[in-house]
Amino acid sequence: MNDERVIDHLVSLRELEPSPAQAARLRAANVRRRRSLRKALALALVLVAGTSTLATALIADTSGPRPPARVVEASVPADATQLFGALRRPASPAERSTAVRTVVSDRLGAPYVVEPSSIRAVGTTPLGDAAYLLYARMDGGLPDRIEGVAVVVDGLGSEGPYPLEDVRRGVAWGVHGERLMTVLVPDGVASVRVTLDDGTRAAAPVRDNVAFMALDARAPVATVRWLDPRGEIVATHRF
Amino acid sequence: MASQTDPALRALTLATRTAVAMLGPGDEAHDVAQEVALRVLERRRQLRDPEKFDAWVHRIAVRETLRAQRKRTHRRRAEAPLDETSEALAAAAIDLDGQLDAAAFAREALSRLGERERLVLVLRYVHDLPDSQIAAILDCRRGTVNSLLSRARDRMRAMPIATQEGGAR
Repeated sequence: MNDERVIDHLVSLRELEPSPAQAARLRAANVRRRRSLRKALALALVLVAGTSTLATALIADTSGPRPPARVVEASVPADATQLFGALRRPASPAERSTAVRTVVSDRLGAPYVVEPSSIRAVGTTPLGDAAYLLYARMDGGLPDRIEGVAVVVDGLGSEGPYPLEDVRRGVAWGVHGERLMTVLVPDGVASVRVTLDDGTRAAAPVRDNVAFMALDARAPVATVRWLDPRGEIVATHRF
Repeated sequence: MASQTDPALRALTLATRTAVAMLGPGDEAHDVAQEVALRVLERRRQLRDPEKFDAWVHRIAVRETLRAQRKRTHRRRAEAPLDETSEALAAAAIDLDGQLDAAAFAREALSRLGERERLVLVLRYVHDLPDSQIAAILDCRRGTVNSLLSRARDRMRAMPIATQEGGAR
């Protein structure tokens, strides 16, 4: 019978082990990733700060305080404004204020550069902190530099910047300290539902392309579902 | 079996089995397994319950394997029309020496099933997981797992049987 032959084949794969070459490749790739991340951060910081001292400090202690992100006037790419309604609405005087720029710049930190005209207040998180959406890029002309949309939460930190493609793919989300989940979504998504691996579920409305959820996120995120204004699921992203 | 104390190697082992079962042996499957293991390394601090390690790895492996498979399907569709006849199934079962190649036959038969049918078969027969765990990994009900398994086996039974003479009957 066909099905039995297929099942026999599948059962035979229970004994399949990665080859020594695969295991060695994994170890090498892990080391390379760690090194390249540190090198990129160090190089970007050197370009931003102009000193190697700070880069050395970053390598020595990545958990220490970072210098603020630079604030540089530049245009926001058209594909970002097309994707995010929040970026299309005019900035309010408060959003253009020096105080808000300082909060955003401090929380995002080097080696990023903030585009100040893109800063939009996106309300208050369930934990009571003011939050901002903005367009930011990594400084310094690195070949794989990151640029995209970030969310800054005063008092907690930042998520992103996420490249626009990550937003479209539904992977632009993060968890602050296992207690606040931030999800960035494109226009058209009215609410978000999240399921964790331990079965925990949470939902939140989207305001200005961002949804916040207070949750005990000790288990990994399993699914993030996008819903339209009628409550219909328009996308399910599994992790 | 990989050591439980080395999560990356354990993840690589589980992911290799899933990827090889779904994609066949080759660089593509090994690349997927590598990617899964690296993701596990990067995100392992998110996992607080070590008992759920395997289920977590399976979820990542399933997602990455499906992504690779969809890319491959798009590529093939762009290159050539799908062969809907039974001849490919029969041909896959006969290698150059005219011997029955069980692995090639199994891969061809699996390729004719739906994504979730294939996944349920792999999680059940490669990883020997119970319905409840398969349901949790695929985010569906246990009844759905049973019906997917049953449907997959029915569909495979209905496929033309390859013989050593090289034909389908």
